[in-house]
Amino acid sequence: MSRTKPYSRTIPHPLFERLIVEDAMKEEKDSWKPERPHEYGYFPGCVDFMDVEVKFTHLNKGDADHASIAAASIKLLNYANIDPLVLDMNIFKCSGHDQLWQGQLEVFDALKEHNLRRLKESGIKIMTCSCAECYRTFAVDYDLPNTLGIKVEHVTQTLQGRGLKFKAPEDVTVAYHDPCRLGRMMGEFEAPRDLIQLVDGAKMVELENNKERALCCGVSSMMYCNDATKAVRRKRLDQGTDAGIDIMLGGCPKCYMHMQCMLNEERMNPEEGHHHDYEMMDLMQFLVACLEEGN
Amino acid sequence: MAEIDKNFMTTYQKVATHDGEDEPIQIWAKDSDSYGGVGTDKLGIWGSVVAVDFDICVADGACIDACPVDVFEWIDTPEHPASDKKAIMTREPDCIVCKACEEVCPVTAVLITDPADIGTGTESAETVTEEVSAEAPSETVVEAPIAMTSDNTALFFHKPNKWLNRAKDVLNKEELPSTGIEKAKDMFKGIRKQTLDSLPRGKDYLALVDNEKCIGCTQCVYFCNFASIDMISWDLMARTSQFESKKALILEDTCTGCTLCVFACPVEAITMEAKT
Repeated sequence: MSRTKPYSRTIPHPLFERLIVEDAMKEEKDSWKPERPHEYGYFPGCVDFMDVEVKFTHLNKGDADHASIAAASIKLLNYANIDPLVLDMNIFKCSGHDQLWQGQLEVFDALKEHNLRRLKESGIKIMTCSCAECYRTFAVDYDLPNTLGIKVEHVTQTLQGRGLKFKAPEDVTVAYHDPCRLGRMMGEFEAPRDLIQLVDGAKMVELENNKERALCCGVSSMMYCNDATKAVRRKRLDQGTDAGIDIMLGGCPKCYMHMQCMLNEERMNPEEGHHHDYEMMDLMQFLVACLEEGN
Repeated sequence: MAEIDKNFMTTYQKVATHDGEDEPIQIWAKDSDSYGGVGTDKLGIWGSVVAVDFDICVADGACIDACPVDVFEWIDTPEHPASDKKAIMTREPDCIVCKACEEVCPVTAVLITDPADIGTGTESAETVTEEVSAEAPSETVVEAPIAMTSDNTALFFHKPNKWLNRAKDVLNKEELPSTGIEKAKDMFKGIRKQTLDSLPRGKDYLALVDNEKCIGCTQCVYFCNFASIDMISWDLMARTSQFESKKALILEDTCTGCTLCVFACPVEAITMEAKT
């Protein structure tokens, strides 16, 4: 593949970007059928690919663990007595969110066509995603509720109101960072907060800007990370320090990636004098860490 | 799948040596019975700085393609079940510890150890340190920056994320459906090889940054194993359409032409150019 492709002002990583495009353009005509019928389908999205990517490229020094978001979501769905059909990358393809927002409509259409065909074959009634971007893409851009009659949920909405119980191993102060796709675009602010409230021993505080007025992680759809976007991210992280939190929780793997990247960068350059003494985690990872023994 | 034992220098014994171009290649095995010599099915681990587990090696040649300084060569090993030839580290002292081979190996048979890290504590490894330090003078320029990098790493891991570790502990306890990570690994290896093939690399080449394209994301700085990339503030004078004040600068003295920064760059601002 040529390396001279003009990328305009996007910041997709060459390997990751090319991988998704290559996967999208490979036509698969054979049919597929799940082993048994499922009501729920769980779409992990590209977290596995991102995980391999950050390990391959030494991004985050291998510290970020995206694959565990998918594993944690499946574990929590099982804990809520849901047996989801895992719509993984062996059968499905990337939802195409980044490609759509970067303007690569041709790639997005190819991904959408493949995923819609597979969804028809899967026979699921409700689709749940741990990624806020996939959730928005399936609900709005694929318009699944109207085209295939499949209800789309974020995993926090699926887990909400199922009488789950969690206990934190130690007292901890957390804050929830609203991802743009889940909060401001899809209007879901309460489900993740309700889940955090279920955790015994975790004190939830609100950041200065929250819900509709939340600040962005700075990078949307893997486009363009620079001084300006880093300033936005640093402002958000400063609000966490002001609130005195131990962990910042997010509902989107991309928020997790960008925030953790910034925290790591600051720790590697202490001479610049920016430091935030807490960690970024995905809500699913936090809830799994708070599962009581024997579950 | 089996992979190379990361502690082989302490748990394995030295059983034999094989001729390399300049220095002999150390061969390690669990005990003298588990090494049968070339032509048998028991080969053990070859090499110290560049260690390849010949019992796992499937001879797909990825390391030979990836190496920017041509450390590897083929050696025939008839009668071995995994493959009938292996990648031997003939020019092991040339290794620049870029770890490109480690990352491309499809069966995780390669382990690169920084010569500076060999011989911490154990008796058996001390002799290796001497061997390595014998060819150290030519590498002194390289070694000082490496120490700087490992300082940063120590600082970086100062505070482990105990909550993430807790989550991983819970998840490790049970078997959950796989979610396509094996497919992702294979695809990454394939596309990485494709890109490597399209790049000129080695000691005669140098990485160059295009300031117009550089967005100052610092990914190349983390990726470089030789600390030969620096972020330089050009103030407002060099601000480009990318709205960034800091740009990457490659230090010619220490750049070894290993192409790793080209992989790291998200906007393809780095190219490999022939040294003049």
